[in-house]
Amino acid sequence: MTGQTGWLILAPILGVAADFMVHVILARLAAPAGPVRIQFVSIAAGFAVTLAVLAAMLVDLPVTGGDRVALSAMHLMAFACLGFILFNVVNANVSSLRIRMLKEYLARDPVPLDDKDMFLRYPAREILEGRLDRLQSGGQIEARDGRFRVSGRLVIAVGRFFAALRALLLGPGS
Amino acid sequence: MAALLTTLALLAISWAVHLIWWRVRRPAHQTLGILLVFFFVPVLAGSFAGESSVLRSGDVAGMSLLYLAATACYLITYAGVDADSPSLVLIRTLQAAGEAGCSREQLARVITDDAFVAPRLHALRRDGLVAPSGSGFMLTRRGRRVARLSVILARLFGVHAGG
Repeated sequence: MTGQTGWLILAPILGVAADFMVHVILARLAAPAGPVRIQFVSIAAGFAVTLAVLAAMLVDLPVTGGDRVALSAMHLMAFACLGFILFNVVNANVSSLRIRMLKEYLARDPVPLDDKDMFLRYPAREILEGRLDRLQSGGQIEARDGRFRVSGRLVIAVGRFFAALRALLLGPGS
Repeated sequence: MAALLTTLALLAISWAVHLIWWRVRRPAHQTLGILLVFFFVPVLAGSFAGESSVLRSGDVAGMSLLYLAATACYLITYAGVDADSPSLVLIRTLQAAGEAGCSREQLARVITDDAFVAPRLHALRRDGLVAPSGSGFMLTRRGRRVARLSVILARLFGVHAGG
């Protein structure tokens, strides 16, 4: 039995593979749904695959009920982490300015690019407009009477989490 | 049960060591520092535990996968701590403004070229992705690989950059 639990890692690996495949397929078949909606559907599909594979593998394993729950939790957490990594890889291609700059250098390769070109191509004002659009369409902020306000509880929690982590690691006022 | 608790304990100890190190003196290469901590903590714990371990050999695969994936997640999260993301700064600014909110012009004073564009150009050079060439900067071999991979991933996932 000792080695059998090792095979359970197939569950989160197959889960993230399903997440990847569903995303690639939906990006072709349902592109108008938008990348965020597609991401949530593919993560849900990956989660379902992980759960199904875990259930099928655990049923024959001679382990206690407590171990069954703990092994399920451990492998579901592993899938959650792998799904989070994939989610961020996709998002980096949407919003990461560094990735966009790299693609700009690639498009002009082998002609060198001046910093001035980059500042003209990626002005801060454009970054601001893009972020405001995205945060509004995601329901994280809202605009009323020409003023923007935070509107989602989750986004408040995320903002507080990052502020706390930053203060904890880099010191207060950092 | 021991496998899950041990993995969570190792992650907690690694994070605590990382916190102490950062509060004493932040290393110049922060990502490398985090990787070193998260690598050596389980290695040292494993060498101390030795034969007395209550873990089953089969659990090591699941533990390693969770530990490595959680470490990668933390590195992604830490990027938001180390370098300000425009979205996080906007949310922080709007949170601080409360019910009064902020106008577009007030937000434009926070999202500036100096605060967001220049540091990213600097980071590309620091990370060896672009290098000086003639009158400007060009991709290094590594930068070209990363840029091409990004193009492939964007095509695969059907995503388009914006903001």
